[in-house]
Amino acid sequence: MEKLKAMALYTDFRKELIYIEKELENAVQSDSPLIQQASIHLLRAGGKRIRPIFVFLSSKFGDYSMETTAKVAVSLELVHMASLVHDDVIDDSNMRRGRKTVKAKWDNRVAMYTGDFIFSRALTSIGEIEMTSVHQLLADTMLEICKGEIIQFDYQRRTDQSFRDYLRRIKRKTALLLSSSCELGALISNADDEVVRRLRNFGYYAGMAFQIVDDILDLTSSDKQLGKPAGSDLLNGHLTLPVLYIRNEPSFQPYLAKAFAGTLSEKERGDMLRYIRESGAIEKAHEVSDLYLEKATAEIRLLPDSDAKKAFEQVAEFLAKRTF
Amino acid sequence: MNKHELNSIVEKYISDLQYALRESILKREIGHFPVDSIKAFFLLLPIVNEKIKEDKLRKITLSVGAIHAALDIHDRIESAQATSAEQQLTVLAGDHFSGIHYRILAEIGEFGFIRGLSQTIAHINEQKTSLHHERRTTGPILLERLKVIESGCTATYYKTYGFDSYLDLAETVLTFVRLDRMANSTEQQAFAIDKTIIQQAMDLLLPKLNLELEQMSSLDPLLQQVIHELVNPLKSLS
Repeated sequence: MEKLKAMALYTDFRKELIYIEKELENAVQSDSPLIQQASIHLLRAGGKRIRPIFVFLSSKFGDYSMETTAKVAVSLELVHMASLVHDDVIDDSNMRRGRKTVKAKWDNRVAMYTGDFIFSRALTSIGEIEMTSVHQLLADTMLEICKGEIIQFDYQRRTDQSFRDYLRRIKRKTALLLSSSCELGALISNADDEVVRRLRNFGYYAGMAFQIVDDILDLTSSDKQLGKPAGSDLLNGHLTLPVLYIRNEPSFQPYLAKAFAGTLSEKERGDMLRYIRESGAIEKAHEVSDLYLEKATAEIRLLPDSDAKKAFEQVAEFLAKRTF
Repeated sequence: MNKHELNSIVEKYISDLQYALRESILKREIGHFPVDSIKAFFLLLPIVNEKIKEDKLRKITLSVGAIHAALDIHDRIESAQATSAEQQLTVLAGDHFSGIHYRILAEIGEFGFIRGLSQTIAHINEQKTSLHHERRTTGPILLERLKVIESGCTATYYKTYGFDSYLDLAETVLTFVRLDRMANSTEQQAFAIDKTIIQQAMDLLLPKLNLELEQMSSLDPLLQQVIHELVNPLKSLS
């Protein structure tokens, strides 16, 4: 049902979405049957295509060209996909979006090469755009995302993190790429500087809200809805916002210790999730996500009226309020 | 130029590359990563031989060195189990190096090279996947795949910036060096290839290697000497 809602939101941009899907498939064509199979496996796993959508919507605030915009949109989605394949190796994840990960279906090395292949295709696609500012922004964004993952590794299984640490982490993990998606879309269509700035900010705030909701859903959804075990973030040693609120509660600490040590039984996992859901931490995390959503919509509100502006407002609302 | 000066040039390049790729957490957790000095030598070969002092080319060679480091370090990931901290950070190190290669090229606006190199990187990963996954290979196939893997990025650099005349030499030597490592190194190799196939590939490449070594007259005598010193011990082992 929710997925249908998402598709409905995208209805006005159906033509662009179909084009993007086709271009994504073209981009991962390979002489290696195995790489092609692994890449198509990833593409077919779906995904919300938020990054391409943000690029398209942002480019509508300037001189829009579908072909040029698609090159950037495809590139950003491929960068995202490449990072997911490598993340699954790092996290030793066997399932993503209800499907076997590349590393589980083949092995770690195939996942590494597939990720590097997809990353190279992202550069081939965006390489067609001969604008230094575009490449600098994407390169800086990619490095920051990677830096974020390295820092996340450093914080793994550590309970002495501050809220600021968490916010910095999700900024690099998610908000930056969404912010850059908006900025790049605006840049390639030569939108006004003020519009570029507002769209960049919008992407950032929407990205923060999106990631907080994602972290909440990891704790509130079922295994089936998530396509992986609920509570995976904790099992992988990552503290997320709801858990930050309750990490020092004596009755919660044994769960946390066991989750980080990898010794949590199935029953204890269920008990831990129930504890979190009943603790009030989910509601507090939602309040923070709502604050970011308000900031995002405030940026959009000051942009000139258009279909793209309306769609942005709807997409932002949907991303922050989604239940899957 | 004497040998000392040449060594300084290569060492400075390696040190500049390590500086460009530095990242404090990676350094703390996985230490200094090795730069392949032979690949570095061949990247610098045209510049040194033709005494070119162009800052842009220096940056481009750093960018190619960064992608070499990225692709090489990802070969260290274990197929079945990569859950150790060192393995996890090795994944991220490769991604970080890869990002650095792109940032260098983005800063100097080398769009054509970004496109060309990205296609080569794709091709290298296709070859690596095949080599990793196929149950059996042959000498000629191994040779073809290793040529792309070892010298693909250097070849794209040469072709893009008008150094085509160095191409055959670099491809042949770099492939031969890799085959030698696969045959004789005690370190764990990225690909599990039967020694007889490796030997078959070396035998196939040897005549071409000899030919290339005979045709180096356009190179500075010192560079010729260095290449001979590099290759001759390997030839005697093969």
